[in-house]
Amino acid sequence: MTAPVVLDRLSVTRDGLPVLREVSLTLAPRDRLAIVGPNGAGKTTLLRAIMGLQVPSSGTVALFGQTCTHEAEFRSHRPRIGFLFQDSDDQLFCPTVVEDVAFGPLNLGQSNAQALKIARETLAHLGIAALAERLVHKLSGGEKRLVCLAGLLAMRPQVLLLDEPTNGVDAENGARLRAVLHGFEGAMIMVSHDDGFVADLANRARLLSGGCLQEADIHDHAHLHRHPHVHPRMKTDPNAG
Amino acid sequence: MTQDLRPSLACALILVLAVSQLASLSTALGALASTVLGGLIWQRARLVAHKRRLLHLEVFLLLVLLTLPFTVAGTALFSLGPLVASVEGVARALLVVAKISTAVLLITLFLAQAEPLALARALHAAPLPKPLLRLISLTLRYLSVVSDEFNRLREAAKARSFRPATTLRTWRVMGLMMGTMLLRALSRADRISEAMRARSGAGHMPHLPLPALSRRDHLRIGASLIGALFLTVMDRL
Repeated sequence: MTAPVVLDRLSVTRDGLPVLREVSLTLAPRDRLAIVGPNGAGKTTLLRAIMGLQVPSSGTVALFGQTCTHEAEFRSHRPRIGFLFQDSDDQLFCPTVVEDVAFGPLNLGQSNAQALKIARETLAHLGIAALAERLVHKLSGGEKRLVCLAGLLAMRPQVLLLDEPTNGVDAENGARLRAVLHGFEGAMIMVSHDDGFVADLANRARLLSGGCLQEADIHDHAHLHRHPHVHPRMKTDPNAG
Repeated sequence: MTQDLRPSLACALILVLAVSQLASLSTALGALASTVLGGLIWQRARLVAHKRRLLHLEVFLLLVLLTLPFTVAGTALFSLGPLVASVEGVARALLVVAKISTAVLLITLFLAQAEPLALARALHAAPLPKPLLRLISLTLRYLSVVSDEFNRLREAAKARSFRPATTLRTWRVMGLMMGTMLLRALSRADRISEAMRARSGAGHMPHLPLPALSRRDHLRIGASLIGALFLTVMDRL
């Protein structure tokens, strides 16, 4: 099976300053890759470049084996890639929950009635069928996040790009979010500051710092209290490889 | 499920259109009196709830009532220095006031209690251009986001001991806040359009189906048509 996402020496500059420098990355079909790094390191820019929302200054993005440079090429692959935005309010632009979830299926050529049916099924699958008729702007942060995810899953994507998925999500909805993502069959790139979330879901991690991507390990060790942690990979680290 | 506003919207539209075309003062006053009476009998609570909103309008109408008599030529009624008020002017002012008051009362009675979303839904059934409908529904969606953002800015300023006063500095701070709001709104608009593209959006929006109109809805619309026709006939006779 071809790798859904391959980046080859991708660079992005903004206002003359480099944001990403020669980043190379291959995402295999069932990969769960975490990208960690400080604020402003270019994590969101990396996801936007994969979606074709950010024009690179050099290097290539290949989606499902096809090198994409023009909007039309990206457009044909976007239905298979779900992108969870950092701010839920950007992504939820329909007045009610069920209409928003139906937006994607409608764009894929379903009729209005079919799209609404798929939306209700997806909401039920996520265990939030009760939210269907609710007004989007009256939802809690955690509920908004789950509805955003439902909007992506309703399009049956093969890849999920998650930008800070646990931001502003309470424990209960967070647990539900994790459970749904555990059940997701496809590949995943998650950008997160939530080490617990990363350790739970990712099978490998890379550190983005100063626009460069480095190998990193996820491991669990005792501090004053015990919690999972992500470190840059050391040359001398016996766990490396 | 939100309520179906299409019948109310149709009734309000029919009656307001009829009222807007009235030319005789007596019919207009009659229409006003019957609307007030009807409102007091059937929708007293609604009228009381929106009393303030109606009063705001009356202040504006008072201005019309005070200025219009002096700007219409005709038989002199009285004069204030060089300004002469005419009988025709007073009649015109009263006509305008009666018509506007009736129209606003009608809209209040039929639509004031409506949820904005229900109104947007009902408008989808009207023959309006799709981009306009999209603007309305996006505005409804983001109004609360924008107002929350503005409140946070205001609270942040307050938390750092900013107190608005009639000073140049207050105006400058307000200007900066407005500018910040505008910039944020623009970048949010960019992100929303990206989110639409990311989900393969091409301008189509899903919408929940509305139920078929009931017999009662048809009766209400029919009654409004008869009322409108009656007003028009009375006006022309």
